[in-house]
Amino acid sequence: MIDLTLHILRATLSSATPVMLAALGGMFTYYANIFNIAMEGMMLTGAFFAVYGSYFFGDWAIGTLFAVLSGLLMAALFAFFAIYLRCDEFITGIGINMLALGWTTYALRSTFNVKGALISAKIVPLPKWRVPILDLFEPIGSIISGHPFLLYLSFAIAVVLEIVIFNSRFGLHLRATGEDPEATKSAGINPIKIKLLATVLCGILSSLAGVYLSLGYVALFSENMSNGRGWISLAIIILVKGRPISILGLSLIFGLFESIGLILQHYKLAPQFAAMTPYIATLFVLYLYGKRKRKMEW
Amino acid sequence: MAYIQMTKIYKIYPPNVVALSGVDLSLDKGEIHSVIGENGAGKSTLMKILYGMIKPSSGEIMVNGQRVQITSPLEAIKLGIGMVHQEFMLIPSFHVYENVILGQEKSIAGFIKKKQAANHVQEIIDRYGFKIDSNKLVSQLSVAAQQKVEIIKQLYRKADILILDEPTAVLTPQESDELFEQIIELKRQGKTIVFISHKLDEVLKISDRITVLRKGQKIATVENKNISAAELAKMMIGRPLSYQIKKSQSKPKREILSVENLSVRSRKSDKEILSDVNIYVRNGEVVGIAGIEGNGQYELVQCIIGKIKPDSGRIVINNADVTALSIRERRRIISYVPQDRKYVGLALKATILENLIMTHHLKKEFHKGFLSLNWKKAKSHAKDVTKQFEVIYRDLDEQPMVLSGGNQQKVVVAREFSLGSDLIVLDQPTRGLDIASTEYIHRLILEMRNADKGILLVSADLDELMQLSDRLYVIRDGRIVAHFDPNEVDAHTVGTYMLGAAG
Repeated sequence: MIDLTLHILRATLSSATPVMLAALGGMFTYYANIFNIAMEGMMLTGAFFAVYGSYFFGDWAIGTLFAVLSGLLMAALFAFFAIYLRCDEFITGIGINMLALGWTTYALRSTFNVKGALISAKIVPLPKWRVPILDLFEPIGSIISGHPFLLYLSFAIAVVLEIVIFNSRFGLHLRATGEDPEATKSAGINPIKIKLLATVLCGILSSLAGVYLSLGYVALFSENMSNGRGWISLAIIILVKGRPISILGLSLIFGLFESIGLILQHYKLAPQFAAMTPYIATLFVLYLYGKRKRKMEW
Repeated sequence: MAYIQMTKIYKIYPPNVVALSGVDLSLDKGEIHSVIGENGAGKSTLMKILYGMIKPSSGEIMVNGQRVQITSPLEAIKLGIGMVHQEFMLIPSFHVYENVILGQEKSIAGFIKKKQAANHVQEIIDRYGFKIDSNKLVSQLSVAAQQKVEIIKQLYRKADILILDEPTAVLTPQESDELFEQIIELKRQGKTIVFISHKLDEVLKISDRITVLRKGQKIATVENKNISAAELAKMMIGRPLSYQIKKSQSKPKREILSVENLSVRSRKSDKEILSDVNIYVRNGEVVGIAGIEGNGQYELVQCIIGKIKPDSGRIVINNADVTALSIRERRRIISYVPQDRKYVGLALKATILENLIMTHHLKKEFHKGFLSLNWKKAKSHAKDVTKQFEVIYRDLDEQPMVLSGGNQQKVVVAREFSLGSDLIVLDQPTRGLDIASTEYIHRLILEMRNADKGILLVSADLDELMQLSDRLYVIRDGRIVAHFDPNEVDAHTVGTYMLGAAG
């Protein structure tokens, strides 16, 4: 039982990471008041190109580079349509998500001649870090130590962003842009530039979420690998109104649900049903949130 | 040499809307220069050009004898030109100091030292004698205080010229007086102030020089010596101001509206928005509600209309208790001009005809068969009322979007006043309208009053209330704090009650 608990907690950290990274990316666009739902697609392309780079160059770093470049491309696409051409943000987001799914599926089949999933020894995963000091304290060490380094980086990013958003020039400009672009403009700040930057940052962090999925969590790429995590990240962002430190907290809760779901698969529960757990959790949290909000209104 | 010289400024919006036509303006250092004109005369456009927000079609701007291109507000700020807009450019969820430093933050490696920034802003606030706490949230400040934050923002940016776009439009008389003292203090400390307004008494009170615009053209720049309000008005609207409201004594007989012990509690903040409100309106009188915006007058109107259900109290119209009735049932007996004409008063995507027939369509005479409307009758009705209420339009099938603000409001007023209800509820009926339309609507309100209707008038414009009302209530913090005959009090007394400064 203790082993199982430790296992769940360890898996919680791992499951939380991609959702958190994508949510932190979406946090930028949320504060800039861009209705951005493209995290799902950015994550998926990130996951594919991470595997692509890692497979052909035998290096996770090049995989990561490829993923980030693909994230930038997706962000550029989103920015071109939603910000430059002022198309509907929601429709643009849907377009990006569908493009990502179609493109990665097609690329997987045409490049690697496989259907469903690419599993290969040639895919070099992210290196794992042991944290020597934590290893001395069991069982904490066995929960926290030995994850891919990107996991530690992600948690650090969440904390740093909490400070950036509320204490830096960029944070001030970003929040001002989202709240009132006209007022921001009159203060001599270019809100379009801030929105572009927010989209680009979203692209980078969401594609890193993809890297964690395909090179950290496992070392493979499967079709539609992001599997709704981008949507969960969106739900998280909206629930916590963008606050980075709360994103960290809520991501852990979703991570917990997901890892419980995964464990349940070993216990004769239909895997499809187990896979539903995080979404049910999303609905449940949304329900609590909606109820509170309803109370606040007239 | 003038400090700032704008020469032959043209602004033409394609294809052929001329906003400014060869306007000159010169500002001397350390003067208070008023720019006056009706809505649409081009005051704001001219100032936005000086502030770099609008690009002129042609023309030349000199600052200190140097020809300059002001392509953005940033550029204007660098030249020492600052503008306080009519609509505040503030971020409500930010602290005062954050709003002030926004865009001009001093930072170390991109991070702001919040405490230092707040102190620095506080120093500026104190130097010019403003009474504001730099650590407060802007959303918690009164409108007058928010306006000061806007001025402080420009001072922080080292503006030497401050353009104030209709700063008193949103203030009570007391707040306006305080602002004027502040403006004179700024002048004493060497700032140049451009004061945009259409309130002539204010302009005459504080200006050194006055420039008059009309329909995009400069009529004159005059010294503020030996000039009267009447002369200015004539320059401004091109004809003498006809508008001196004369009212006969009202002779009310019966009560039309009675609001009894009405209370409304907000579930959001758990504060009482309306507390034990008692008012009445009788036939043949205009009853005004004065108050600083956000003190419950909007909610009071919504209660009468039926949008908000009160927590306690009663609303009686024509001796019938309507508290439990739906909006639709009430609208058969209430004419209502809402404050938001674009989204509540009108359906912008429907046609003018449809807008004119709304609510009337509930009447039997416009029905045809079981489900349809008698469009022929509707059309002739629409033609009659547009003629009667002087609505200028090209085609009844066009959308009200194509109409000017004044004509949009006339569509709403025409529809409501032609309903024939005994009770007319008016919420900010002339907000944002030009002088001619305002004058016209005032005349209509009095006509309705003389036709024995009971009129409830909510307005932020105290002059309007003083001129039109037979009785005047003052609302503050959701309570009726005073009840006057406007003939027996002056605007300042009413202002004292609005501010809660009276014993």
